[in-house]
Amino acid sequence: MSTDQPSPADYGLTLPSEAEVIADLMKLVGADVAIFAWREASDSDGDGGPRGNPEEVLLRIAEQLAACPDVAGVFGRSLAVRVNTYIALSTARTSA
Amino acid sequence: MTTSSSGTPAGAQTLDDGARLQEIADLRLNDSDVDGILSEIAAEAAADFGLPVALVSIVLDQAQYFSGSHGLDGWMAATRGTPAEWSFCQHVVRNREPFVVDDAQTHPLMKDSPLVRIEGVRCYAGVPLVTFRGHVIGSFCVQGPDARSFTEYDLARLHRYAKRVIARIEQRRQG
Repeated sequence: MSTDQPSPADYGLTLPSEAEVIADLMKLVGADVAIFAWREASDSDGDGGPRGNPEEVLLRIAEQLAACPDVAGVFGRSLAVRVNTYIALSTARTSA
Repeated sequence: MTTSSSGTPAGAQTLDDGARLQEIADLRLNDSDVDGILSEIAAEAAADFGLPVALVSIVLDQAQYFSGSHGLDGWMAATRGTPAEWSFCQHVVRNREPFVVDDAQTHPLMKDSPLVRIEGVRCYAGVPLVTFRGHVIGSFCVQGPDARSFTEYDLARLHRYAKRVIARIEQRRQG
C-alpha cells in the first residue's frame, strides 16, 4: 500500500455516524420513514446476518432515501454522493 | 475578468432552503439516471470553450450531483458528484449569480478546496440554473487545469447553454 495516494482525511472528508444520520432523518422525514430506512439498510438481505462495514450501511440508507420522490430523496442523494466519495477515495488509497 | 463573487451578499440563500430542495425533488433531479441530452450539451460547451470539463451540477443540501457531464474521469466520474463544501458551484447557488475564477490557486474561496489542491482544477466559470419557478437549483459550468480569463461574452454563451439545460430539465416536471 502506498501512502502517496491522498486519503479521505487529506480531503477533509469525514462521514456522519449512523446515529447522526438517523437523528437528522427523524427531523427531516419523521421517525417512521427514518427507522424503516435504517432497518432495511441494516439487514438488506433480510437474513439477520452481518451488516457490513459502516460505510456500506450508510450507503444503503442513503440509496433507500434517494429513491423517495420528495425532499427525503434529495437528502438521500446528497448523503449517497458523500459516502460514495469517501468509499472511492478510500478504495483508491488501498489499491494504489 | 476577475472573480465576480467574493463574498456573501444580502439576499444570499442557503443550500438547505426548503423550497429550493422541494423544487429539486419535484424535478426528480435526485434520480440516479443519467440524462444523455444534458451530457451532450455539456460536451458541446466544453468543445466551444476549449476546456476539458463541463458540468450540469445540481447543488443539493450537502453535495453537488452531476445530472450531465463531459470530461470527468477517476473517482468523480464514478461518484457523479462531490461534497458541496468543496464545490465551485455552491457559490453560484448561494449568491444566485455567475461565479468566475480565473486562477483557483490564488482565489480566497477556492484555493483550499481539494478540487483545487488535489484534483488540479484551476479555472472555472459557472452560471445559475434557474427554473421557471425562479429557484436556483445548480450551475452550468466549464472548468480546466490552467489559469484562464473569462469575458462577458463567455458568460453570455454559458447563459445560453444554461437555458437549454433548464428547458430540458423542465420537461421532467411534465413527464
